[in-house]
Amino acid sequence: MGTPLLKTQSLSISFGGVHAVDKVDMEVEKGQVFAIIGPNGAGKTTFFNLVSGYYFPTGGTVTFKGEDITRLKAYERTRRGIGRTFQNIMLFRELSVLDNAMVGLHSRLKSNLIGAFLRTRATREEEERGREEVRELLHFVGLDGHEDNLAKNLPYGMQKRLEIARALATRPELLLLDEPAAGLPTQELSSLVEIIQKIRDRGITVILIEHKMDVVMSISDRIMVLNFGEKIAEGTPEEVRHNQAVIEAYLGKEE
Amino acid sequence: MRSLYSKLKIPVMLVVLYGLPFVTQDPYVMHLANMAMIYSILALSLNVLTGFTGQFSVGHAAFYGIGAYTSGLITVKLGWPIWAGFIAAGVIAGLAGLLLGIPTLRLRGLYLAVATLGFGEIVYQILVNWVSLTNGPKGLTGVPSPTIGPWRLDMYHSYYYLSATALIVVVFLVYRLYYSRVGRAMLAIRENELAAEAMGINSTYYKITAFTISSFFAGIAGALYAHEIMFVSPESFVNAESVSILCMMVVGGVGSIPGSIVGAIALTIIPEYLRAVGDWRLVLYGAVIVLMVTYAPQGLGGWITALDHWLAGTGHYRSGRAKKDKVAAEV
Repeated sequence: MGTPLLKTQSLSISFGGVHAVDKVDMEVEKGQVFAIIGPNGAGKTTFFNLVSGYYFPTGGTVTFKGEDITRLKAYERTRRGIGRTFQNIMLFRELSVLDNAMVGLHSRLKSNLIGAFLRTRATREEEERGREEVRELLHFVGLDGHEDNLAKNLPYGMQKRLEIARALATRPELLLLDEPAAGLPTQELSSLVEIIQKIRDRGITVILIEHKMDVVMSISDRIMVLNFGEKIAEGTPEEVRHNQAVIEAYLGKEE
Repeated sequence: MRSLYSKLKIPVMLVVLYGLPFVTQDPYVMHLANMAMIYSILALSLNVLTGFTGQFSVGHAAFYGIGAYTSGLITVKLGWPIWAGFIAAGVIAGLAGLLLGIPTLRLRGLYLAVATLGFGEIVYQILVNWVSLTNGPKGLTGVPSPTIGPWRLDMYHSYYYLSATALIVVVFLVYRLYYSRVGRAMLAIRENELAAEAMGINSTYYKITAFTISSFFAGIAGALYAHEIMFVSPESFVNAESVSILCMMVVGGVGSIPGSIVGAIALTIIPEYLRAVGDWRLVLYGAVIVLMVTYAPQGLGGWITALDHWLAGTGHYRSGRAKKDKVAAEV
């Protein structure tokens, strides 16, 4: 299969003696939908924060496209092609929907201060192209017609989709979705699944953290299970479903 | 009717702005008008840092003072042309902003406020105590008036054309900044720094940029002030002055460009009207600010924007940007 898109080796972080993520080895191949599941407090979001550069590990490495990115800052990882959404929505609340997505273009646009003050032709054209691209992404997640609304005024489900559009605007090769289905009403779940599938069809590799098992089982190629910061299982949905350690982690051990 | 409003809005504002000296040339009024222009620039410059980028500063008078002294010293002691003084004022104040920005990057909210407050005090103490350079508390006299061709701007009303033009240029630049990729990055940092980083924004870089731009404009305002009253002394740059600038921005509306101007004009004029009540002046002035922040957290700028949208017939928020009273709430 060549080099995996993302690889962690013995990735660990501890907070004051608590091993939030403990020696996790994993690999994600390009084009997969890879799910991370586990009980609350298993270290899933912490693992995301390590991959996206919000925490620096106390041990181990993160490798992306064959490059060691363990010490890179979050914004540098975004520029290399790792996009993410947040579990507790982190939109730019007082900016419009369009501007939220435009911010996602940041590292791909070039206009600097001089361009801003002089509003050169290159700057104007770049902004125009950017707006078109962003409109297409907003359409992709089904937010047409909401461009001028403030992000904070969108209903919850749309805010979640705006987070996805904003992350897509960074044009990631790897997209980390932190509980995209959390809090969504049942009728919105199928359109979320459809969006994730379309993202994969665009050639973007997806890692998602999710508690809703029907979502996880229906779209994941592989699943990794964390418990108390340790990886306890990995495999296809079918393998994980029947894994004894996983069943015990979720349901408790039978005495 | 409505498109007429949109077409005429800016020309009418320019006519009113430049027309003032034709209505009156009273030195007292025109000096106040100049101060209103200078404070508008100061409030706008603070808005770039606090309103756009969300970084608190309670030491803005320091950059104002650095600008005033830079231009004053360069023209008085070195005899350089005034225009060189203006540019140097912006550049030196901008550098000071850069130097303050770097060590204070890790500070947020109140901690940053205290650090900038301390910086303001340091600059004030240097202006007072470095007598061989600044002439100390006695101040620097003989700061020259600028000339443009045959015109000598040595009267308050003639100088007003310069200060009004400076304000227009700053407003223009700040608007362009606001609607640019750089401005968007600053707003994103104010709204949510973690999410901004996830968008590939180097927040460190843009915070320092905001500090530098903000103090550059404040330095220009300082030079405008020095050449207007032709004298600079440390007393004009005490910490209370920083608080005044902050109040102007907050009353105008944090993040609002027209708000900063209206806030600055209002808080320049109101104290003059309150002279009639003698010692109660400062009490009433304070009360006005408390009332504004309590009952109009969006500031005067919020009303202006609403009025503007109503007159222009764009019922809802159109431009893609709204402003946050978050900082106002923290004050």
